[in-house]
Amino acid sequence: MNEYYLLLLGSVIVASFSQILLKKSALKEYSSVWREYLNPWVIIGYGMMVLSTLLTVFAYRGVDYKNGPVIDSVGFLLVMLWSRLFFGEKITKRKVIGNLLILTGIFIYYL
Amino acid sequence: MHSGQVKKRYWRSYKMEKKRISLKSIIILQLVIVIYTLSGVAAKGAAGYEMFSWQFIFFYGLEMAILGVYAILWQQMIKRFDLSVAYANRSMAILWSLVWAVVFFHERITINNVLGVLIVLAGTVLVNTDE
Repeated sequence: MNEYYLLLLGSVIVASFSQILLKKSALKEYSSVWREYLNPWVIIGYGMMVLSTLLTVFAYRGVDYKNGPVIDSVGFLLVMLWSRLFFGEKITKRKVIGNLLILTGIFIYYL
Repeated sequence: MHSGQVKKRYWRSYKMEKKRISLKSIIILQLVIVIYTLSGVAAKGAAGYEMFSWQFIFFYGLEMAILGVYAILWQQMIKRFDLSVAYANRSMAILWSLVWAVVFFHERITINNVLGVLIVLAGTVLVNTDE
């Protein structure tokens, strides 16, 4: 495994964290629709998403395209984990099996 | 009449305990994900033209516009769903992309594509029927 794969993994981690910031914002009450979007959580969240796309582009210099979506799918496990840590969303047996099926399906799709 | 009241109360508590996700809300979430995959269609459209040609600018602009709409709608979705559930539903983008690949670009699909999509679908259904 070369460092480009680590870079791609880093991009996935950044993107998964951006979802946490967006959800943080979604849990709050706002006085207007504008504030639902124009607040630090959402702005930094989408900033991180842009950063993640840049990291992805650099990572693809050393990663075959066909492997991209497979590594990207690690994001499903990460989001499940962060949702438990930050929002107390339970990791049930069903959720684990469901997400493992999703990963397996994506892997087979790009086989 | 009395038994009717009991029944009603039973259903209310049943609903509160189970908190199942309705099919309607899943369909709305999937529509948002369909919009997301259309940004990829616009990107593929842009890829066919020379950079900074009018057609390129049109399709690339379309891609950005679709992503903007998606971002606004996604925020509304995660207000209503657990993040872990909403995000797992995004995996169905693989199905919608496959549909667009056939409809718009007449790409050939493989057995592995179909098999993969079916397994992803099964996984998403499992997550959505979680209690």
